[in-house]
Amino acid sequence: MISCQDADVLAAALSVGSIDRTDDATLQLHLASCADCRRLAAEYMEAAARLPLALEPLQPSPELRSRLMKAVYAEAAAAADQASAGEQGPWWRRVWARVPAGRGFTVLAGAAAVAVVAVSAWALAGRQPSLQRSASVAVGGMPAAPGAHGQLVMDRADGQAVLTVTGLPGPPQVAGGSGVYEVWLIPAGGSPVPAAFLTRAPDGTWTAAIHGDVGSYATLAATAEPPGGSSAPTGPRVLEASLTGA
Amino acid sequence: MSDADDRMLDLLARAEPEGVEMLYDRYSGLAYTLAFRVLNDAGSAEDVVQEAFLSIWRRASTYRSDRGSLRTWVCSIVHHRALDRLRGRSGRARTDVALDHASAEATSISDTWDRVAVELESQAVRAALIDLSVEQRETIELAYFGGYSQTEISDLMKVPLGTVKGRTRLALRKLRGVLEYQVAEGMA
Repeated sequence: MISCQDADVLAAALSVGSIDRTDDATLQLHLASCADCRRLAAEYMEAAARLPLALEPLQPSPELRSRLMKAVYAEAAAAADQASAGEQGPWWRRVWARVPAGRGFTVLAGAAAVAVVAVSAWALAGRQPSLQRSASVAVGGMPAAPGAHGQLVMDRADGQAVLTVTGLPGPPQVAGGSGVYEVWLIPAGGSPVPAAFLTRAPDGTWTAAIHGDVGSYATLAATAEPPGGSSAPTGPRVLEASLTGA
Repeated sequence: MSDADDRMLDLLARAEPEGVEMLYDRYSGLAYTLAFRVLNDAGSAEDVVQEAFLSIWRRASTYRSDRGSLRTWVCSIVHHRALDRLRGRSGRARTDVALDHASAEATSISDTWDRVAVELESQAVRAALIDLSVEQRETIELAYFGGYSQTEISDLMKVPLGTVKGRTRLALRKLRGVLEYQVAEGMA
């Protein structure tokens, strides 16, 4: 773990995009458990986001707005259709339908993840009182990526989390070439919400900073998706962890 | 956060496409200006802006106002995607246009008061950049607009990596000071 002074330097580099990936992963781990440095990093990001204001303003072509909104309305219509179809069955059936092939393994992996969560929570609560601001959840690989495993570190104060994974092959191969690993937060009985993309460090470790109230969701999962990601999971699930009780 | 931002967030949180339209109308000019400055190519810059706003639409529920303004969120996503595209290019064709010498076109912000506020803020940012040392300003430009890593900047400027890190941190501290001043003056 780096010091807050080191995190200050790395946060400045992060804000202007010049941080290298290994340092980024190190910084994200620090930020997950340090509210002061998180606040400083946010202030640096606010400052850096003002740099484009120093440029003379340009404007995109009017066609860009049309293209964008056409895509947005198409996705909104598809989501409405999906929600309408989903209302025809119980929540567990809808969730089950999204689980990829190998359901038996899925259940076993899920049970194992829940067990690890319970052990982690016990360890945090009973043995490591100094870490109680953070919660750690083990993340298990799925049949599509049996060698993958990792850890989700959450800050209980605001729910921000950092996911670190090893053993994932990459980049994922999807229809059309190389894709991305997209992370999803899944509420109990609800549809998956896109949360982040996993980024690969030179040492093969994959990380993702996840913003939002992570603790309010029931499940975290990752799937292989086409470049740019998807609005709903389309590829095989490669990681999964239960967040219940975390 | 302004009432307009609140309205946009409410629409986005409810997955209403109108929220994206409002967000686009407010920030597309700034987003495109940033993407064009990094990529120096109109087609690529438009692709990045479209990808960024689609990404925002798909993950609007993950936005948290306590982590930063909507503008920062939009600029961060556009910046990351522009750098990803730049770094994926062969030859890394970068623009060397200075901060205040890009070609000018009309801004997309129609509201007069918004335009005045943005202009005041732009002047403050330019003043803050001028206030940086030449080395600090060059370091920030190479990083933010040029897409160079700190190691690459160290090689380009022929200074130790630690010097690059120090200059970056000092420059951001000064720029952050401008932000704090604007908040105190009610400009942000």
